[in-house]
Amino acid sequence: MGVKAVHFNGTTHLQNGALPVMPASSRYGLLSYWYNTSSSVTQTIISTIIIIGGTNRTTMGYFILVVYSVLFLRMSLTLIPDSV
Amino acid sequence: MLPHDGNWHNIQISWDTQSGSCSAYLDNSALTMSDDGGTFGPPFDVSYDTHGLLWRGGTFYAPGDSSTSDYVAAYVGDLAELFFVAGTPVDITDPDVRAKFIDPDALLPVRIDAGGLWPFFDSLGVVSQIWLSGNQDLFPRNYPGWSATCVSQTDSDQHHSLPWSATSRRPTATPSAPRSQASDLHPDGDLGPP
Repeated sequence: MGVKAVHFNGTTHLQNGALPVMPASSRYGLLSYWYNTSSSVTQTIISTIIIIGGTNRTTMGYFILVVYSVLFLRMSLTLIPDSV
Repeated sequence: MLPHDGNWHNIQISWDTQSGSCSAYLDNSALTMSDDGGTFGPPFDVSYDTHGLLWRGGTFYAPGDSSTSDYVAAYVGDLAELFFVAGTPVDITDPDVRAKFIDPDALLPVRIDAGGLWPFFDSLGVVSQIWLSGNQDLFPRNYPGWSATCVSQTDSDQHHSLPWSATSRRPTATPSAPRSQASDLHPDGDLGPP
């Protein structure tokens, strides 16, 4: 018995193809997952969540970036600029 | 630094875009966040109904993006039990809340109940907008009725399955937040009773 997992081989990714039902507006967010890797490639993206408005990122949003490297942890909660 | 030692690790991150606060835990231990050079604030709410939501796992720049960069590499490894919740404050600084996702003693996942819901959602009545779970066929299917664009993951269960914690609690299934045919989405029964 165990929790099933999926494997990413470095050339694959997962991306939403449609919008799930989301709240109209919110200040809160939560992200949780399990990962397992032995790759030593620096600055590897595990997951991102990006909230943007329009193709030019002209509205407020944020992204959660989970990256690991051999040297440091890097995460961010960032406001995308109002204008590009 | 996040471990990449061939073992399973749990990440929990919560944020509040009004206060600019963000909390993160690795295997039930607090992490220090860095801002990655970005700009924090001013306070704002995210309008999910009018703005685009883009979620990617395993990469930041998808093939075909004009803004490709060698800044990051695509992920090589396994991923399991991903939850994304918007619209509900979740205080992961509370050990009891973190214990809904990870057993604090064994540092393993808590058991999913027969209805496919985690104790967290059962107890608080919160429905995760994105919940990715299962093998390569099931993982891209959000619950309920939503699919992601999945690009050729492989089922790592044969090699890297997460064992259940012997001390995990097993909640009673409730119909408060039904998922669409959750049991049918896990025909192998791995998420059912032991």
